[in-house]
Amino acid sequence: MKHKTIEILIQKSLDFEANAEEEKILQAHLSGCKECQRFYQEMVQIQKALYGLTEFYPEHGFNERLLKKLGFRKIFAWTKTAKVFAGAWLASILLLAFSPLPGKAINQILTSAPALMRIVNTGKVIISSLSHVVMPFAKNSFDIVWPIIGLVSSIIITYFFSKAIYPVRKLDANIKSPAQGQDFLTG
Amino acid sequence: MKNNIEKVADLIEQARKNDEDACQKILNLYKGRIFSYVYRMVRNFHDAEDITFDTFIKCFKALGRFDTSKKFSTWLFTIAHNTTFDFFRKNKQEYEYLDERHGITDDIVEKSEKKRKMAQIEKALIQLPPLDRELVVLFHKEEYSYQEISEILKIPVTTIKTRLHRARKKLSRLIQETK
Ligand SMILES: [Zn+2]
Repeated sequence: MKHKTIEILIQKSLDFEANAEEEKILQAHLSGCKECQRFYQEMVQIQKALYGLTEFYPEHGFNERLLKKLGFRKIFAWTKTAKVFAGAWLASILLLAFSPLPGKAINQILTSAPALMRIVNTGKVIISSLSHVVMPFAKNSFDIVWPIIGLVSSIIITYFFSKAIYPVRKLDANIKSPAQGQDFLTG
Repeated sequence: MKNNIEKVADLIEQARKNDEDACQKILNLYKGRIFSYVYRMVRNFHDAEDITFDTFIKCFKALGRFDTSKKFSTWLFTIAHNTTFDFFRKNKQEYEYLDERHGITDDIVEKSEKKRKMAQIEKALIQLPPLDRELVVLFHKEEYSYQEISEILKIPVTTIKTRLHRARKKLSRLIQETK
């Protein structure tokens, strides 16, 4: 049999396209022909090398960029954020006003950091002067300073955590090139 | 395998309803394959990223038109192929002398001894004409059948067979030369 015919058989065999009869012919020839045997081995090596080709990936942030282009955007979840805010406010008032522990702990931190102490003292002056304005309308039995501290701390807590806890995304209807986008939007 | 196909079908269904999570999952499943394919075609990281980006934009926007009885990845690769060759047409001058451009071996594949063989095959791949390179990647790396490749590239199976055989022979010769 011609070497050229065998070459075709080798390629067929490697692509799992050769039938039993062709495989038999091929193996018979290979066992007696050094030249074709060498070609066969070369092709096997190539196939192995190609099989192990690495996967490359686009840069970090590819998905985010693509989804943004498609029109997915972050929207702020107001109702959920309001719940976080209310919870944080209530918790800080209860904690600060009725538990002696945080007060002690805060004092300890403040005495060890004079710079922080100065900031807090300035804050206290502002809050107490504000409370003098509000005081005539409030009962003396409840210190107005605590709700204000609670309010401030809950604003800070809500600011830092609500976005992280509730990132709600919604598809923006204004996709560019509406002619093509229509199919995607309407399904 | 069947389970996997069913999962992809579910993801497509959800993505059609504008489910962002489903879109993310589809991206994560296919972006590596598409990017690798495009990168081996254009051999420039930024161009490859742009083409991959456009491919997925087209894919998601046309998802409503996708025939779910067909294989999703074949459809996706068809878009990638078309986008890549559109790019070639638009940047004809720049891409006329492919061999003069810096190759994969220079910027992504490390030149450690361990990866020497990998670099060798990548270097040899670069020297194939784009269509042959594409055939090799689709057949050997992506493991598509002749029939599927014929669908993606819109060329007859017989052409694919002869070109693929020739490409492998050339690859072997190129590797022998660098040894
Ligand atoms: Zn022979």
